[in-house]
Amino acid sequence: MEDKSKISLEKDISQRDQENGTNPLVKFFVVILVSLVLFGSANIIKIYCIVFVIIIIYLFGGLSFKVARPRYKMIIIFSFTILLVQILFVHGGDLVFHLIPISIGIYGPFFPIYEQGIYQGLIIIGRFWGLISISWVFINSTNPFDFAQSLTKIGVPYRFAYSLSLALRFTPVFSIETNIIQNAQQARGLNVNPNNIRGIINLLQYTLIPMISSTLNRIRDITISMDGRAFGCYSTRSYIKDIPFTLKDWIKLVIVTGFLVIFSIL
Amino acid sequence: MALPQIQVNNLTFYYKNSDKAALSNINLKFNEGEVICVTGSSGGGKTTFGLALSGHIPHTLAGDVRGEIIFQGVPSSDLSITDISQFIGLVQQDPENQLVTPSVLEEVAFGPENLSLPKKEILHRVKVSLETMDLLSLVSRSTNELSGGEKQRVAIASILTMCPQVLVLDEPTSFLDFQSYQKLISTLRELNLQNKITIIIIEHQPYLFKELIDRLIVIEHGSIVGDFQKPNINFTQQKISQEELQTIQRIRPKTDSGRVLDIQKLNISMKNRLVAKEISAELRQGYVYAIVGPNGAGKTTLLQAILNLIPSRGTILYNNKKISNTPTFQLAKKIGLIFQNPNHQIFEKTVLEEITFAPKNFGQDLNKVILNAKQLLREASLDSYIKMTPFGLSYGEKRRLNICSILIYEPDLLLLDEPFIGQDRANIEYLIQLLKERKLKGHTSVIVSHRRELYDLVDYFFVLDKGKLVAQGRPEEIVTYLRENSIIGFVS
Repeated sequence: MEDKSKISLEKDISQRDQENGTNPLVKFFVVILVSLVLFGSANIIKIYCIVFVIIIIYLFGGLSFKVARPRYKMIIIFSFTILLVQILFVHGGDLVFHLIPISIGIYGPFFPIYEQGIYQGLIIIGRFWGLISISWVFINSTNPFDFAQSLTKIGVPYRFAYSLSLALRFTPVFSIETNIIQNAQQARGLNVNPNNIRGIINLLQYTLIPMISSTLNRIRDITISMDGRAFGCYSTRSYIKDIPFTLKDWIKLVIVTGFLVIFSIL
Repeated sequence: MALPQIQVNNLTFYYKNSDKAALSNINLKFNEGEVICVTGSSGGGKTTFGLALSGHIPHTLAGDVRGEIIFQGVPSSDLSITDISQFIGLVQQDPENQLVTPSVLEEVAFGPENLSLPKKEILHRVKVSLETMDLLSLVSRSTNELSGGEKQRVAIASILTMCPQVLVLDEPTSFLDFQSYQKLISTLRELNLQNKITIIIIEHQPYLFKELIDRLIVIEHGSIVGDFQKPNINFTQQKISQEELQTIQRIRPKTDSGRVLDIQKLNISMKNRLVAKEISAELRQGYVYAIVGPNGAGKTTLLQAILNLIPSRGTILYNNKKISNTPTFQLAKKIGLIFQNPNHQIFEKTVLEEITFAPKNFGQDLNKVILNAKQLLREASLDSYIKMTPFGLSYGEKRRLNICSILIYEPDLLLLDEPFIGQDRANIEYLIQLLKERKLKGHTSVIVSHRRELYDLVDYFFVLDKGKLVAQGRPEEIVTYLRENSIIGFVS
């Protein structure tokens, strides 16, 4: 009788080889191309179309939207800050309205808002959201070590490719750790959803200090773990998995590139 | 005469920017096939010794090294870390921190891949290691999803693929439940007998490896203070006596003590998976409770749900008041939680600020708090660090600081998640004293742990398995269940 567990190991490796439906390099090039289109275009409709398409990919690709609530909060706060700065300080085009329309004697109305400010603010937010979303798609759908392996195929030294992948690999770990630290803070009476600036600064300080300490420990342990398994001792390394760049990958790359080029020209 | 496998000659080591020797004049010889346990107090130099033996000192970690280590006649200075890594493998204390890749398969294959071995050879080594550590069923899993015990087994398997002749394991039982611990013992025995692998175990509880070890080395303040061969090993020295533990059990809570916590039909879901199912439990004032169960049973999850750190469905009553919707920071004054990892609960710049962190959040009178804090730090032997950064303390000292930071506001209910991990006898005695004082004051404590000492320590057990409360009762009522299901270890 055949050993089921042995079959499972062989099957797992071959399944993983097949699962690499899209080579990580294709995904990476798409991220670069989308970023170029986002930053190369000043057309607000095009920018938001890209954001919309990425969100559709998210929803239909079954990717996780579960990002820690505070991070959403940070992104939204950051976006609104950008918008506010732009609409307050960029003066150009027609006057749309005054933020404080009241006049006191000869003073007022206050804070004029111009067309150009709103337009520029929305463009920057669109680019920011587009960049964040496409990066999320890439991180959520790519095994960082498959990405590293693919990079070595195009001549990137594996020590460099792996450092990049380690950063990606530990992104979810840091997120989990931040959550544990904030749980520990709450368990000692700290409100982790403060509604004043001082509270936010305190929270940042109490989170950053243990995060830095734990990151330094982790870096030390990971270095020991990698050195202890001969990482970097040879200029090349072998791989248990195959990540081929197939004809399908070329076709996908050509289609996406073609689509983005046409989209930018139109 | 055969050369010793490893010979340590006058080894002294100072960490960078430290004037205190972490290792001082160590002289030892290890022979092929020996099983050695290295023990001693927290911060005594055991881990540093393991790092030096495995070549990470001086190859990975900087510092001032004097003396030498000779591997089968070759001084370590003539070898690279790659050469040493194929001779001696180190499994570090925290398995979480040493897993490099995101999947079990890649993690175990990582070493042979670095050695640029052919795919066929990598596959062979991976298979053998996974089989040895009984991990074949986990091969497709993400390393982020594994329990602490599973991570520890993966870490060992990933070292075994390097085919070392010597295996150093730093606190290998820390995160293991009793069943995983039994598995580890039999695996180590097999590796030692069949593959002639020399095994060096760094452990606070050498009696856990009583049947396996041939030799016990005691390190204190960086020096060897004892080197004993079987049968001259005294295992009872490191152990907390049954008598000492039972002093807590003998304090009887008032018979009419009220209900402090009432959990009714609690369900907890995480990532669309039900991790706690219909848990109902009642905790009374002044008792010491234990929550036990295998790795991944939902013990930590339950503690977090009590404090509303994770969402749950069902009812939790604290002193007959529903607390399901009360924010954690408001519950914290009454319900304290000590987390598994002491590093996660330190936030402030100095030890004094750290201990006063919670009272400040609760708006307590700081003058009174500081006086109390100084007293607590004295009792915990931490008073000399009062103005120092808490991040520079040793693991054991950080744990004592965590406890002081909770003791200062005396929560009525205290939840302790694996408080004994990485702690030496002195720290465990400190913890036991804390539990004793709390019980005398009529406070309730709940301990999540795999330690066998719980049997002599607590008043009541809750046993969780796969998210369900499968048994509960006083120690004498539940002893057969615990023993038959290998829930916690028992000294024969």
